[in-house]
Amino acid sequence: MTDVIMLAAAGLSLGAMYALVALGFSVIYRASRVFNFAHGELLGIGAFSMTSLLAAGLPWPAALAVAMTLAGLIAAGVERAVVRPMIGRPVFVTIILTLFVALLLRALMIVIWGVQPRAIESPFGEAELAVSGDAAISYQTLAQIGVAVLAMAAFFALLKYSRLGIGMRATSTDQEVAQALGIPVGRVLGATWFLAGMLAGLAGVFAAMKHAMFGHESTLIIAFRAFPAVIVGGLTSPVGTVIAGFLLGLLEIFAPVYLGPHLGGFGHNLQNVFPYVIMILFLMVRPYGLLGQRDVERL
Amino acid sequence: MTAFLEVDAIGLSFAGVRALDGVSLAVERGALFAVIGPNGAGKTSLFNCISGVYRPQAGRLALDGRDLGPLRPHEIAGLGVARMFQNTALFENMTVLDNLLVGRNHLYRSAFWSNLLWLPSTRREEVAHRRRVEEIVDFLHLERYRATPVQILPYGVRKRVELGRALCMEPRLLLLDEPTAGLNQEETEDMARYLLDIKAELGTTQILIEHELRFVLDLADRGAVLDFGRKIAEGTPDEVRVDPRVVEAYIGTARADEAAS
Amino acid sequence: MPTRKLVTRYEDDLRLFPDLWHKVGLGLGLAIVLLFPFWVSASWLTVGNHALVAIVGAVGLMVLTGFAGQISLGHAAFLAIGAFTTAVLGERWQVPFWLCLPAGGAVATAVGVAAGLFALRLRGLYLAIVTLGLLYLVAHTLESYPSLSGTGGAKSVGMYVTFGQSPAEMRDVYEKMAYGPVILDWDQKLYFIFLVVAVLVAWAARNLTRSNAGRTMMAVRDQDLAAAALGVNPVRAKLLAFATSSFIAGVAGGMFALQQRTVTVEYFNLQISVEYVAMIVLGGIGTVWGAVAGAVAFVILGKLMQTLAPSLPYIGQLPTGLQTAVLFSILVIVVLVIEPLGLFGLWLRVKRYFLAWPFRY
Repeated sequence: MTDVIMLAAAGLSLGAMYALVALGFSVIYRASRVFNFAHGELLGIGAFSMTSLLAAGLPWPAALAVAMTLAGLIAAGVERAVVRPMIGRPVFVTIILTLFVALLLRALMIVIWGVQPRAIESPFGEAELAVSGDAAISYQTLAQIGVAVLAMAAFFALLKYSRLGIGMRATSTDQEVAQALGIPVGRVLGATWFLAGMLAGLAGVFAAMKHAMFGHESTLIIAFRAFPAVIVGGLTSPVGTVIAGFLLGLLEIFAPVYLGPHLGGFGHNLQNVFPYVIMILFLMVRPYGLLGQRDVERL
Repeated sequence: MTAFLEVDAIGLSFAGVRALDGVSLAVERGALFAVIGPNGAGKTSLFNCISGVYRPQAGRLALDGRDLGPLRPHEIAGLGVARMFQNTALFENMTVLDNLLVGRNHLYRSAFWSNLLWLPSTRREEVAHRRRVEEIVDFLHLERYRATPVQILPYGVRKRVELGRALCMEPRLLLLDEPTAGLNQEETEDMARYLLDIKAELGTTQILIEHELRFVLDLADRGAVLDFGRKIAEGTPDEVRVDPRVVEAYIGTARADEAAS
Repeated sequence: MPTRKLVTRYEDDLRLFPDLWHKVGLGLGLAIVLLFPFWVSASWLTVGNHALVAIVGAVGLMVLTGFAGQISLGHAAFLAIGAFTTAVLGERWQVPFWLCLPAGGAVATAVGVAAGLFALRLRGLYLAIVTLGLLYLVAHTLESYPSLSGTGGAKSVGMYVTFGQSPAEMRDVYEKMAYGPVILDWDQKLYFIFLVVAVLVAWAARNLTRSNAGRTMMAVRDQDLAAAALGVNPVRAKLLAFATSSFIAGVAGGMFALQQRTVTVEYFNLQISVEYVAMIVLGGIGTVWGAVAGAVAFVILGKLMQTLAPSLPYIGQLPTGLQTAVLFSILVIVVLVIEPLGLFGLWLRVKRYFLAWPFRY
């Protein structure tokens, strides 16, 4: 029982990260029809700028806000400079484009922050909340889950109720019609990428805090493991991707413990591929994801 | 004696919308049969059922006595059902010749590895099919566009390429989904002449979808009218023209006199 | 003077080198390619061998992505399968290399067809992510079994010429030897072997484009539903594309292993898949020449950038592995923004210029 509670907490905090990343992915895809492979680097930008901001003496919440904004600005910049000229191009062009943008961003980060691993101090220190028996969950984990849920709730509220949200939804349905209705499509696209970048920045800070020290790979790995969540949830469904993010986070924590020992050599480091295994199995049943729309084909 | 194409009470619905509701048709061999109806009447859905893209939930389809129910689209095409699409579905990045040659795909016999190694059998086959394709190029006056990628061709020519691609299949049944939509007067007349030539020279059975009543009734031997997924009339052009249900549902009562004239 | 010979037979239309200029080009190309290994320095000969491996790999991806329109980020997985099959067969049973290459291709084909069966229902980005998953799965599987991937993550590859060679006899392959009047060192031997494979593969892929099999793949790429309504079996077309592509990729992986003499699982990562996609996009999607030109340009540019990068500001500070990657990313992004058809588009422009010469349009 103790194990289960602690594993569940770990799974939820991991799932929260996946959900943040996957949500950003999905809204970017809905807006620009681009699968943003540079998303992982946005996580890195969030995390690394956080270290610099904390070192500069900013209080924790302010540093987090600035780091998220920075990641958002970079995302919006990528959209404006590289993605927007590519509208209407074949899918593989946008794929390799974002992959190469990712490389450039990684290089940029190395130029700015170097290759030495860094650390983000938790504002809660090592404090833990005792649950039952031996089980204890650190306040940091709880705070991560809480902040992620809050950020996502805020995002969905924005999407549902604000003028910008309505513009985003209209743009993702049909850009030309949205434009004809007087929605500033360019600005809406920019705002979409900005918000997605902020979510990524937040996820990046969390991903960095998973380890005592983190390097450029730690944040990338999280992003690449979040891809399956997007697909399982359904590319076009933000809600689906959030659900899938949490599910995959939980599964990824539980599977190596309960399943790994039965798989022999293959079970070693199972978490590296587990999300992809789940994704492939899932797509066999539902090729368009959990809540994604089935493309209606017309002739 | 049964008809060449039998459509027996087929029904099709999408998420509660009934696209086709118990439609039955019988098309005789060699006929030019018209399917008429306003937008959203279910005409294209009917074609999609015949060519196997959609599977009707009710009813039965048979070509020359053979049940089409369990067959997949490419198998139905292999039986000689060719199709021209409403909004042209050409292979955009391929040349006109290649588009036409794809139409002959189901007549190719050489194996994949023979293609890969360009064996004599493949070579002979390519030349033989090219010969037949050239006859169709000639028939439709496409000579000057042979090596042009279809994406840069004007719309009228694309329609002709699509007709040519269907003819390349040596079809027994030709499904024409609004072949004159978007064409100008001259191109429309050309298209009409091609269709009549196909009927006279090749004797191919044709089903023609149109929403412009006059054009189609001048060409067709028989016609059926669909409205909201139901067949509301069937008969010779003269019968259809004056059928009161057609006049009311399709043209609207106010203009009934004009249609009858 | 007519710019082109009048075609009077359909057979002439199907020739690969239809007129005099094509034949002159072929002759010149052959001369350059055959003399290349005797002219250049050892490091450029290595570049040549890399280019030949890249050509084979890129043609393989072109069949799948360029002809059949199936986007794959898992190309590196098939390369890895080919490479490790070659390594394992050589190590266990001293299988000669000319059997290892097709065997690697065969194993890759088996995996490719399985992946293809699964991918039939998926399109576009879904397929891209699933093939990425395939890459991770293959890498994970290889890493999980050290008997396949070698201990410590690296496996050495032997190149045997006949069955049952002893290691001492095998070593002869790597020595300088006389073959009649020509004396070839190992790199040169490898170059000629690779050249034969690359020419064969490119020729076979070109045969696809001028025959029914390739046309049906392209029909599925451009309009899959319409293709089905025209009698093309989309399942068959896609599976054939997956099979052909993964076979060629397996062979390319085997070639890579023979050349490197040591292979690691780590090498076959997403970066490699992306490089191959970049090659075919750079060269121009949908033609065999595009794949060949893209691969050659990629490898040569890579070499040039390697020498150039350390002297550039900012880029010089990066780790060496990243330097060329960064320069290359910039190049690819610029090319994609300016010339959507890649090198092929550039070539079309040059051709049009000379066709219209002395007029300019």
